[in-house]
Amino acid sequence: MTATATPSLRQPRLSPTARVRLLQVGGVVAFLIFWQVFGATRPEWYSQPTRMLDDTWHMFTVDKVLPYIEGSFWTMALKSLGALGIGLLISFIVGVTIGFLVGRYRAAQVIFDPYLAALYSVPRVAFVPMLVIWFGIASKMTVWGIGIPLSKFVIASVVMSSAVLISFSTAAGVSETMKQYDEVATALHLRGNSRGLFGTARNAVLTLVGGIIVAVVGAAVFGGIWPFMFFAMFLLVALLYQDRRMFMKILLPGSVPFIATGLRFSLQRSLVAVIVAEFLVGVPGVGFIIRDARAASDVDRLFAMAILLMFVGVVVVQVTKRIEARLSSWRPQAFGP
Amino acid sequence: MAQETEARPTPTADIRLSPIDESGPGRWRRVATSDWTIRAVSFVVFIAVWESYGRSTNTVTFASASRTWDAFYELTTSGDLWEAWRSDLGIMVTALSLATVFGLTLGFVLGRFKTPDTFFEPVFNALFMTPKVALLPIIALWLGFQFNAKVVVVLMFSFFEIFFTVRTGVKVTDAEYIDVARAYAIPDGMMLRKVIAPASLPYVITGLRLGLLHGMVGVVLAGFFLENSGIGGLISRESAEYRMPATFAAMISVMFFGVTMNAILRLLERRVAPWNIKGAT
Repeated sequence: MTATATPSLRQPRLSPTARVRLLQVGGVVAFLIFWQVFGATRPEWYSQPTRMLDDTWHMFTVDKVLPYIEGSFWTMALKSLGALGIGLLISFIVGVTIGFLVGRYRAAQVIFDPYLAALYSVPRVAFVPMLVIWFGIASKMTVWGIGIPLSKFVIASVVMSSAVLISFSTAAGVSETMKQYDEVATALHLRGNSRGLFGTARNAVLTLVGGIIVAVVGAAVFGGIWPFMFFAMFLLVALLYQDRRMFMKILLPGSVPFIATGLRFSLQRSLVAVIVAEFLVGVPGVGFIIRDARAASDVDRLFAMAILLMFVGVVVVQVTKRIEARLSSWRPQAFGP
Repeated sequence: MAQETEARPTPTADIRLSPIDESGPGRWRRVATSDWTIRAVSFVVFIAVWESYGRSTNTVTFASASRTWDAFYELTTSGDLWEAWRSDLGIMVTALSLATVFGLTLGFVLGRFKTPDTFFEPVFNALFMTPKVALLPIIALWLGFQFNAKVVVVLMFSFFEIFFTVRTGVKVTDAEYIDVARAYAIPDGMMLRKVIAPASLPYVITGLRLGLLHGMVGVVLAGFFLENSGIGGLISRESAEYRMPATFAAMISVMFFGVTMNAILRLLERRVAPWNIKGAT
């Protein structure tokens, strides 16, 4: 009798990682086979993985993907991605600015928190029909005389759905950083003038004179409510300027991982916003392809689009997670969200 | 608990060395700079700006605060708003109950047993990552535009949030608790009831809150894309006919509902789990 023959001492045939991989691949394959077999009962109604693949290939190669609008699938994808990118850029600027203010200054937090919380806990897609009225459905916009084949309305929908998320996570990051590095910043004289914009006579005069000059310029060039907007913008810039060392040296680096997380969540939401906006009013883009497939009851096309969007979502999340990890790798201990 | 608090006098009474002067100028200064005063003042400013902008601009594309209020009153008295919310609440209650049952069951089972969890993980992850709006037209094709289709839409939006949060909660139940329970040879059913369920309760509450928030997105979108009823339908109908005051009023009712539900569930969350669950938004 040899001890090696006892089953309990035998090596497992598969390593744990190989077993996990095998199970995962098995799950996907089983799902696809089930769908293929089940879909065969009524293919034009339930679709099938093979039909979907065929349709995806057809969609990628055909010159005119929509019956009454010129442009291939890639043109449409580019339009949607362009609106997504510009919308995200605007949301990023707006969101990070608001987040900085709310995280850094208590007064801003007290004033803006209720509105931000209200916007946060509400389905912001509900605003889309209103944005149609405000921004129109034209799929071409003009900025400083240059025509861009994107829809202002779609961009506005993206901003609506994602700016709040970015401002929320930025504010969280800034206040967390303040908690940890406040004393260091004070010790290193990185804090701005603690008297603020109106604290000393010199500051108050500078602020008021600068603000009035800017407001007069605004009134001369634009009129309407713009003088007030210019004045407010001037105050904002002056505030950020007098506190610039704090922002650049402490708060920005400290809140980068939080901003990246906010960006990841808002990327997912923005994708939904673009599709909803394009679908609802029929702006050329990926959402329009879904709308068209829906009108034609083309289940293969609908599933193909859903799975494409899934892949886009997965890629986006993975890439942003990588970036997040890289951006926060310098930290001694991770306190990211 | 109650006895303990009774036995010890609250320490705040002794900390004050001198009584705070309740009269004098300092008191008014404190009141004037308190958070709620600032909030109230900024709210009044907000309403004033809204009203004045609404009066100066085109009444077709914007509604002032007073016109929105009138429309709100009208929608409430005519019963349109109640009607919309009643139909949506019916859908949400049905869908969220189903999502809770499925989400909790699957979350506990897959969180507890590794092999089926690994097997189903990629497919569930993929479904979770798919923008649900892309699946909405398919549901409309299969189930039509009525109650059933809407319930499935809301279910789809809320199920994954509940399921994934609960699964995480079960998975991260402290290994120490389980080891101790094992050391006492506790049977599986008791382990679930006495160890895993209480430990993952905060995750369940968070999952329910997230499920509700996403379910609201679902119910609004269902009103846009499926039958034009409910609150989403109300918004799209009113805005399609350029009745901005009514549109604003309907949207404010959505905001009010969302904020209230979120606040209630956050309170519940804080009661059940005073510590914070990270990564849950």
